[in-house]
Amino acid sequence: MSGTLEHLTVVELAGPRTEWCGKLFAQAGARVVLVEPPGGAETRSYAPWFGERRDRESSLHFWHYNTDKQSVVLDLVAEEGREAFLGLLGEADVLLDGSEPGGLGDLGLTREVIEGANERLVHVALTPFGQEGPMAAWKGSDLVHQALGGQMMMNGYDDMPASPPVNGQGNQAGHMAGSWGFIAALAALQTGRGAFIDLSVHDACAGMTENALPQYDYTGKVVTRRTGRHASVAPTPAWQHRAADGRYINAQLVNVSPRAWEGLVSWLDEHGMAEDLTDPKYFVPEIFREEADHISEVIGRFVATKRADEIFHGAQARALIFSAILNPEDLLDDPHLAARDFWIELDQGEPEGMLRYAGSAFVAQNSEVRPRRRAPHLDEHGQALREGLAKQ
Amino acid sequence: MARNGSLPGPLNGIRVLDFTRHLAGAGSTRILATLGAEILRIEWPHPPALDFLRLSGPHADGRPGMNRGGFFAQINVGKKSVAIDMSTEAGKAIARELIPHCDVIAESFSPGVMKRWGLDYESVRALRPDIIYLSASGFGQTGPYAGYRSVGPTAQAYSGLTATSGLPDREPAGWGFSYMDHMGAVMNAAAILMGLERRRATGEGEFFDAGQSQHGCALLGPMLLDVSLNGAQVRPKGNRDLYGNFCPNNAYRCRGEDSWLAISVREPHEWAALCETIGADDLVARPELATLAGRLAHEDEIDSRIEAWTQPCDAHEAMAALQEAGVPAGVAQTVEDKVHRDPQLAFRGLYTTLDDPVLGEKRYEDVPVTMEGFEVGVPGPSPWLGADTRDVLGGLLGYSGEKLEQLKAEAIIDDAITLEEAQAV
Repeated sequence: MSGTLEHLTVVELAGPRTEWCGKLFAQAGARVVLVEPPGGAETRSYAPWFGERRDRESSLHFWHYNTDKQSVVLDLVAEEGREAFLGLLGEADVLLDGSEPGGLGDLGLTREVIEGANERLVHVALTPFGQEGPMAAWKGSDLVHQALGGQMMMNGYDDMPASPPVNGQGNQAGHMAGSWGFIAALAALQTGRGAFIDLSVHDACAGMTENALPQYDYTGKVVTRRTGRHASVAPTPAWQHRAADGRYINAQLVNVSPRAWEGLVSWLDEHGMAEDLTDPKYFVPEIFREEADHISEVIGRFVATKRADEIFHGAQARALIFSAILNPEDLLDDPHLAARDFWIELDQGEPEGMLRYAGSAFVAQNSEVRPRRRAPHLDEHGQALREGLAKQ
Repeated sequence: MARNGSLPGPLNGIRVLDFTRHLAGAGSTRILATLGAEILRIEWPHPPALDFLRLSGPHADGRPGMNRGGFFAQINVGKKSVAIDMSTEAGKAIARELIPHCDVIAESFSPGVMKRWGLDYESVRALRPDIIYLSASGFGQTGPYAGYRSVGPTAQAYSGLTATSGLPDREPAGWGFSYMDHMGAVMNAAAILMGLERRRATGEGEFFDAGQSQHGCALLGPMLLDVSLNGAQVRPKGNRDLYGNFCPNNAYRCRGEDSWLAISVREPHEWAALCETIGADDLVARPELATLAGRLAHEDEIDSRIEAWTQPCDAHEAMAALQEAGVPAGVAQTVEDKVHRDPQLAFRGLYTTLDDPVLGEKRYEDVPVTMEGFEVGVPGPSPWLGADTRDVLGGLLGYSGEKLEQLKAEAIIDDAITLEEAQAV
């Protein structure tokens, strides 16, 4: 099946900020040319590594984010490299540029020069804090952005005095910003005109903290972190419980329908563990709210007698929004992901052969969004690209 | 920045028939609205077409009501509300009449609801062959868990995002908000835009089956290959970098109650600048600490030295001193900090204030991008339930005033349009 965006060509200046955005284009079938500096992209030196190997062709970080891309080494400090770069832009639809504000201009690749190479180009400039402003020259990282963005202060423990706020893992600042770069670029393409998009990682993170702003604006109160559940202005009942196998369960009791409540109580009752929850008084919303801590404790005692997967599937069968709290390795043999072809095999070449990669979460009917090719070796496509440009 | 209509949005001319609910669904059409698309929300004050978010707090003046919810307002800026009772045959017929006028249809009901209404992809495609159709659900339309229910925390728990966030050897801290509702919305908007871009190239429509939980899995990043190729068991490391690509990398206690500063260092010059700023001449003089690997071997010692410096400092002052020296550092900000103490968010206009006659003057989160030559951003307040029913059905479908009155009398459509009516529900 054809790739959803296979008609597009994207030039990506290699860097940690643009690689997720580039991957979103590449897995949809766009031709993504990764322009690497001599010596290779910075993230070729990021852990985790493939087994015991520690060279620039063995970073799993790089492998993950650069599937389907083509690699060309260009030295943008040199005239020749800049000319080749502008040649690539001439045939591109999108430029993904994670350089510091003004960074490309210092090399002579000003916005005017870039627009001169292709006036219909959609130029996505992805910086930590935006092109201008009092903090524009400041530096970020995943941790720093989730701190400033407000994510961290909402994650952590309220039953552990003086404990720090906690950062979410998995490069989420890069995912929040890079996904917005993809969205903004696709929107700009709808106009058929070129565009310069100034995207700030800080803005992207700061704008994703769910109800924190409305709570503050409407009540004047600041939400504070709660163990394993939503930050809130007032204490809330625990919804994370430990199962018999040591795993945890997310057992959120929000918007529980009468039918789901009946199912839950009768399930506990079958095991003689419903305690007083069989009392019809709990159908009264006010009493349900007042007794929330007690209800949580009864459920916690029940969860402690079952395996996490028994609770997960048993609860879902009763229309409850519970889930087992899975570890990443649990996803490898998850039957639902298998049925939806989440895991795929890609040919890594010699000596590794076929390796198991995560596919994409986008499921389309008439076209396809899924990685097809391993990340490129350094300058793997350089010669062909340079020869192609020389012929123009 | 809020839009004032002086320039077009990049999605001007794109019309969306919107059956999405909550944040993961309705957040996606919010994104399209900020980029200039016209969003027609089909809703009703009672299930199944009720958006329960309309009833959620916080509420204006603390008084509940369909048009008084602050979180609903945040997620539904600039959309139009068309009140149709989708449990009636006549209501379903009106929705089908709207389809040829729309480029996109988006829904986030449990799998099966749209088919029961005769609005599944095959039926809709017969009415508008090049339609872009998004079905957004917790676990997707197919697979053994297709019927499972999910909200943000469910998807986070299932995907591994919860388990990997926390302090070592403690229960998971997880995410203190519905991260996967936000990112579900972002990915759903991305799917719709991929469909529109493909339509621009091929003229063809597309259907996307989006599962919020699966999108969560895809956001684990390099952990995915670490587990599949190395057989790794990924466990939380607090605020230290999971893979040691940054060191030091932690949150450090500062002066005052619950005040923390995040610092990340990777490059040698950042390490030197950090040591100089905190007065740690002895650390910078130690050659084994000049490399990332060397610092990782002494992470406890480095962390305690940094915290000895931050603890008596004001977090914002310490951040400024470090950033001026070229060290990545950021205060763990609360929403109050972001609104009142963040000059960059103020400069970029992330918070837009709108005056709504029911809700009053309130702040709205704007978009993280500017796009020269186009206007992007929060387009206007959220709609009162049914506020645009008459305009949309009269304008797009040519319904006469008489027909609209008839449908209203039969309780097929509704149109709360006066301030008193909007206040009342």
